[in-house]
Amino acid sequence: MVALSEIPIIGVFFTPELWFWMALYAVVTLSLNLEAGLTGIPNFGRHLAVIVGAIMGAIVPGYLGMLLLPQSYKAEIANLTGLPPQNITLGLYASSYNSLVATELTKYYTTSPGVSFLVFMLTVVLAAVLGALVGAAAAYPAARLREDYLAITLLAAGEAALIISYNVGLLGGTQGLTVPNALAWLDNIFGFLGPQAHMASSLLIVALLLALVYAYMELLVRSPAGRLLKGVRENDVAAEALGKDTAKIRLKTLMLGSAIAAVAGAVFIMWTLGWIATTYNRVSWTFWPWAMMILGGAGNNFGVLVGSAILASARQLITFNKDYIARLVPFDPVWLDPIILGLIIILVLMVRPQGIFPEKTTYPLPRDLLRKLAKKYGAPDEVKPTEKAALE
Amino acid sequence: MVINLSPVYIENSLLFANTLVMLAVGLTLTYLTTKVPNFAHGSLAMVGAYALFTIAAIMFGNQLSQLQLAQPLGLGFAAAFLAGAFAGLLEYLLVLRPLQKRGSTPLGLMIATLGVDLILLGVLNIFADILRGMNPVTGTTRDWRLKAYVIQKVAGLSLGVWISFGIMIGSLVALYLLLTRTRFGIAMRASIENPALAQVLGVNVDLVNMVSWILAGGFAGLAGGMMAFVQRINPATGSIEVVAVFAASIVGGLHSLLGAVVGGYVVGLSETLLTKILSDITGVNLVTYKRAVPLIFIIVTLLVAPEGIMGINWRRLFSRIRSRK
Repeated sequence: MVALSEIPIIGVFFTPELWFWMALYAVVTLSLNLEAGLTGIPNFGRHLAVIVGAIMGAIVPGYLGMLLLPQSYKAEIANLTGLPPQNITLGLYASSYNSLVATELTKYYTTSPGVSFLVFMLTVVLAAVLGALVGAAAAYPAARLREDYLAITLLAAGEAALIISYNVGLLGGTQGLTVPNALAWLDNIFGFLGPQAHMASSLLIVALLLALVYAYMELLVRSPAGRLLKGVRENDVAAEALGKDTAKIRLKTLMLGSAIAAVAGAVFIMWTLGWIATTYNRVSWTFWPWAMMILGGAGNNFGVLVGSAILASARQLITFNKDYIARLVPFDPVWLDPIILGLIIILVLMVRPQGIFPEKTTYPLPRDLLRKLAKKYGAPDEVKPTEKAALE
Repeated sequence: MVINLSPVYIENSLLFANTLVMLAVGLTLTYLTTKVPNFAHGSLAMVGAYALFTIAAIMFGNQLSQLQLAQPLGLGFAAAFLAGAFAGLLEYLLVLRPLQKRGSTPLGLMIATLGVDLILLGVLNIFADILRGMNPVTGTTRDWRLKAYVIQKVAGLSLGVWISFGIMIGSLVALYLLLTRTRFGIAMRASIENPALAQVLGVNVDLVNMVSWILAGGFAGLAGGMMAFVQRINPATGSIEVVAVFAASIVGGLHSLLGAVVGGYVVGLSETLLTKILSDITGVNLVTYKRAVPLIFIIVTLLVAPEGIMGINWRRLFSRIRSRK
């Protein structure tokens, strides 16, 4: 693996980081697709849910760890910082001793995998719950505002969350936080991989998450509930006339989508082990997922997967080959990143607005059976497109 | 609780509000004509700002001479207007018009403006990288401002305030005269009210749209230049400030040009003066959160009165309140 990743240009495909990004972005984009692609809620505040999840990923392992920390570790922290033992409180996590505390917490998690597993589970669950709450809050404007106004409102909410979380002392303020490793239990199992253990465990977690989310989304699209979501998107008046509570459906969709995005945010921070609010900006966690969804094909889960894979690799290709490109151009190659994203968005909208893999019609029953049933109930024979053209 | 507002702070707040007004008027104008909320508006301002920077860098060179200020600033603002107008026109001609012709949804157009914003952001950053060799007295390409050039007092106020009010009032008066006193302006208003009907009556709606994008881009360019009087400019400043511009337009009402002026002052002064006053009163440092103020304005306005200040029927509201007593 190490040797392969040294190949110029395409070596990036042999780095585990690329696969992590692909899977993580696929999860976020699938959650966006549930809201925007299937149900037609233009959520331009995807980063809001991701931020909330990431905050949970930063807070729970830190503060809960400080609560659970045995005396021996506290004594060690007191020893290292030179603070009196009664000062070793929760607040120390977000203080200037943050990285030291995080190191001690990681040590503690490594020696007691049971605790770290519980912390991990609790982080994921709390991220999902808070994400769902954020989604429920977003349903309030979603039920009241027109498309473009809703998009602006949700975007503004995400930006506000970013600014506030960037300044809150509890999260280390503008300095950010070093986060203890809640995946220590899994790192122990992958111990034989040495320094790559954390990468391996993060990759496993994100792959499991993606598999779960993808399977769920596929089942959803094929189920009556999936057709209901599309019905709400296409014509919510008609859906309501058929007795469907569209406000409730939007609420549920937003809750589920935001919960998934929040879990993705928590998993991301468990991988990077560092919190800094500016990472969760609108470009990285709203516009990129939107571009991925549009490119792959909104409403088509497989398309979304392909779109995320293409754009995540494009982004990593630039980062990976930065030095190589820098020799060719008189500027920093990272600026190609927004230009490519912008061009892709515009070109896809112009050339193929339905995406690479357009949405497929989902039939409630096998098509032969549908045809037979239609005949049985006296529907006229299907007119072939060629004959139809001849008739006209 | 001591409120200490220095005159400089008030001047800076006014300067900031003026830039917001200029930007919000342009944003509202393009929203009225093409029905697109333009997320690239902040970056159009940066196009203007960098045009001004380039002119100032070339003409000032490395010596600071305030006596010969008029020429580079005048030329710089002219360049800012032209560059912004050109970028705005290109955005409309290359991206939005083709998309509209292909029957793109309003949401699709909005996403496209996000794409334009990202492209402009990348291009401006590349431009700033290429200019890196030039180190004029205004700062580096990634961090510059013109404050030092416009700080001297003229009749009690700093020169920057005069320039900024001059540009803003001049532009607004010109726009007002265009819209009310010329045949083309009346055609413009007609096509805002009802594009299809205006077209039937022989108004060239496409030309109206192009002119509105030229004006919006030009105003944004001027505003970008003025921004350099109060804050440090880098290529990303525009995409950060665009949120405040949206807030200004929405608070005033996206359907009213006058609303953009009102909204610009409401949002601009709340973000600067109000946070400072509240911080002084409460003792909590709210100034660090000031960038959240416009966002809260957006959310509250859209949920409470989506038509903005100008959309509220104030007379009815007052009479209702009065009759309740």
